[in-house]
Amino acid sequence: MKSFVPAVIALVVGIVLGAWEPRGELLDARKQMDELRAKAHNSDCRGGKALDGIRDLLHAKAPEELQDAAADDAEPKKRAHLKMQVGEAKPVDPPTKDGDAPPAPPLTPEEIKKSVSEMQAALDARRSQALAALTEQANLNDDQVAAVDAAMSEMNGKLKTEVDDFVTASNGGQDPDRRDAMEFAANTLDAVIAADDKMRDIIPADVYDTVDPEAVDPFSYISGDAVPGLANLKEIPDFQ
Amino acid sequence: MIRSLLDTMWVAVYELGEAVRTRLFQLVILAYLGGIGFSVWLYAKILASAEAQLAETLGVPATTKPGAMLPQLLQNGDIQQWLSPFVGGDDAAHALLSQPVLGLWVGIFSMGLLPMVLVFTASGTVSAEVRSRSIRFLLVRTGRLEIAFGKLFGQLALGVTAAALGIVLAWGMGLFMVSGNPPLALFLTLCVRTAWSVAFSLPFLGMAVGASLLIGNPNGARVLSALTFFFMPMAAAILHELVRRHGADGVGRLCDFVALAIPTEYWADFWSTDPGVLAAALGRSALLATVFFAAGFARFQRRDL
Repeated sequence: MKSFVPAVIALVVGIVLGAWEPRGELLDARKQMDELRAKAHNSDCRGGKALDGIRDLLHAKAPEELQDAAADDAEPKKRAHLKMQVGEAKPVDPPTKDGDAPPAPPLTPEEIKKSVSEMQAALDARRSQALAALTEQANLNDDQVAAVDAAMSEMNGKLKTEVDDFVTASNGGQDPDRRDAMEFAANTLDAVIAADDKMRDIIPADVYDTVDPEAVDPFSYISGDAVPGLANLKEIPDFQ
Repeated sequence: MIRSLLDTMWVAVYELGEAVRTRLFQLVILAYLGGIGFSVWLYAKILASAEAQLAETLGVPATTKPGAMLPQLLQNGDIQQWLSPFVGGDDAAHALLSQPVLGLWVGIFSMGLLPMVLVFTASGTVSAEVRSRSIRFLLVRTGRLEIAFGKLFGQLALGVTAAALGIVLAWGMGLFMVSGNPPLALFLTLCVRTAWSVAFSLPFLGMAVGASLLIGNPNGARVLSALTFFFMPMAAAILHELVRRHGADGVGRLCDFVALAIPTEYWADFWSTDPGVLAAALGRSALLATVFFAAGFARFQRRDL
């Protein structure tokens, strides 16, 4: 037992001696990486990024942006405020006069994907919160909660089918006519009304009247399932 | 050897019994449970406030029991992206966020609270007996190493008991105050996170018992342990700056090695999902605990008791 302290000292000395060179090499490598990063940063600053700042300051446009702007001006402008070319991820802005703020930069595909994901998460969170609030306020039992959840899932399934069909038809190259639009609106409303009816069946009438209206509103339960389908829409249709 | 192990065990049991008799045990448990209870209460308050604002923005009613929206919001890539550098990659961040957040939150608190509690209790364990000379009665029955190790394991048992009760409290409070936590998943996450907190606390325990072995005055030992505990992160920052300035020269390498002996440097490793990283973190913790303990024992071995 007297060898405990010498054994620990020997272990520490062994670790220090064994790791001295590798740790030194690691420190060297880290220093080199830092230097390379600094060089890369400096070359970025000398290149286009610094000019971007000056260009912003002068409200000037890059040559490629000027070309795009000229092409946009040549297009017919009657639907410019409604159209969004999702495929190229570039919104078509309304015509600007001289001196107006420059148009917003186009969304990249990654940014669109991120926006879709955020919207889905927000809608799903909204649905969960509405169900939690309803459960708490109406004091629902597990069976009633499951029944409400199933009714809302059914509504969301129908909405998703309708949206996907509508997007497929709209992306076909021809704008849907007034009749198609009316049918789409009627079918989606039917799905919501059916869900509302089921909600009223599940929750007793005296309890239904006491809870927050938002907690029993089927629109609070719309999930993010249909959002990716909507994001595939190439342009907002102009109904004939 | 077996005799020595048995003696160590008896000293540890006696240490725990004495802690119960002197109410130190109850004090430690209360302090730790108070901290854990506060952390769960704080979590519920913060979550309720954030969810109420978000519910208002989204046009749905708020709930008195928060937690309904959290699982959906955690799917946001931004949170994973933010967490990923701390835990060593996107996969690790994803794996962590798939666990109940309350368990992770309590784990963070536990990693700060448990070392603190152990430092304040264990730093007086041997020095008080040296001061009162009552250690002479123990020395008649067994050796110094057995006494020192017995005290170390006794204090460890005290910390583990507090940590285990903390799991039960956090689990009960979590289920009562926050919704959306599957009971079994929450319990398992709390167990795993608390176990790693105990592992993270080992060097602090070694340091506290080491200080108690080093200094014969319990107040002096407590001051030394507390100062070391609170100034460790500051020392780490200074050492990193010196390493950055000196690079791989003699001073840089020396500072780099000294920084390796600071336990707070490894806290992030205990959040990794890589078994190799976790095993290395556990090994480092045990090694540091042994080194700090041995540093104090070197003086205790030769002290005139």
